[in-house]
Amino acid sequence: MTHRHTKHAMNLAIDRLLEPDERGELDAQLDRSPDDAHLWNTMKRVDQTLRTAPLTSAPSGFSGRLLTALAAGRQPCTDPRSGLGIAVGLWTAALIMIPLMSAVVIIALHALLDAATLQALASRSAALFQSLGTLANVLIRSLSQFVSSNPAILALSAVLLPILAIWSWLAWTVSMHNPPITYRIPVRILA
Amino acid sequence: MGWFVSVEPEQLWIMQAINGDQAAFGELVNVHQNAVYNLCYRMLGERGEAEDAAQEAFLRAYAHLDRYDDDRSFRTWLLSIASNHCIDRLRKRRMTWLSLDETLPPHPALNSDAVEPEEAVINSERSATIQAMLAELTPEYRAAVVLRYWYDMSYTEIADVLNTTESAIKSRLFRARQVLAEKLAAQSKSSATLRLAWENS
Repeated sequence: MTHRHTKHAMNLAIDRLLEPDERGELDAQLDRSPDDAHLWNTMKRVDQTLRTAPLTSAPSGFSGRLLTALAAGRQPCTDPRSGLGIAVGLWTAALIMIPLMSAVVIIALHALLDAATLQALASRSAALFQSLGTLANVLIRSLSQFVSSNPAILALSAVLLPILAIWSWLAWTVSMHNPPITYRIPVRILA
Repeated sequence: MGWFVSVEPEQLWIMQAINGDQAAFGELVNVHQNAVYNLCYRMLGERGEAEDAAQEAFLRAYAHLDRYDDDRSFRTWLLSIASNHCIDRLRKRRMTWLSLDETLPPHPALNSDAVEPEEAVINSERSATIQAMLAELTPEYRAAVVLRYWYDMSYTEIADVLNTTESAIKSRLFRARQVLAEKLAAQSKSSATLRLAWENS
């Protein structure tokens, strides 16, 4: 029995959907492998905890409040992604995009089929890249001059940037994975 | 001699509610409020938000009663609306930051008249453990687990509620159980290490 097959069988066993012969195979596997037996016991604990969880009742007055809202004409919040909105949005996008894309395709075809236009396009692109290269060169030179005249800036950046990156990553991780902790203090109120 | 057609009360209320009878809809709310509220609470983990979500689910159901297919169970249809709404809320919640000014809801032990405070605290701790377990799961996995355990639904019924395939539900449930088992095992291990350290000190 592979590990994947064992896990699949454990899940089916929990849902009482395992055939008797497969159950026998699973039991034999659990006897053979202490790791699988440990996982099985933990999965049973999870199942037991969830199975015995009570149904939470609606707060008192819930239906009254709901019917009052309904009588007052409260409408459900509309989901912006559904209904007429999405259809209108798609149609608008199509109406804008179709002529735009057609124009781009026609221009591109025209340019590719005409040697003179293609040459002009190539020379302008080369000029543009050259200008960008010159600009980058000037910027790097200015930056290096500034850093060499202020060495503290470089040291500060070298320290601050990794700290900022780690802090951002930690903040993101904590906000995504950890629910807020609430400390509960049981209090008995004396009459 | 007249012909009598036997109609279940629920079917009658649905027909009356479709015709705009809010009192008949009120009867439907009374019957299904606990099921819908519990689903929202288990999905969202917060009572105030659960009440909002349950109310929104009922309002949506009322607004779209004409779309209800009576071959399907009304409860399943309601739970489908509620679970999809909660999944949407959870997805949106990932992108919002909690305001620091937001006040925490009062602890149930402090406003419960029905049970002793100690008992309420124990119940609350147990409930918190279950909610913490559910919070480890993605909205889609959570919905599958809630519908399986609190509503005892089959894979086919869950697939119907969540509008997906039976094999997708099977895979979500299997994966969810493994995630929870791994978390529980890790928790037990850290508690055992702490206990050992305490005994050795």
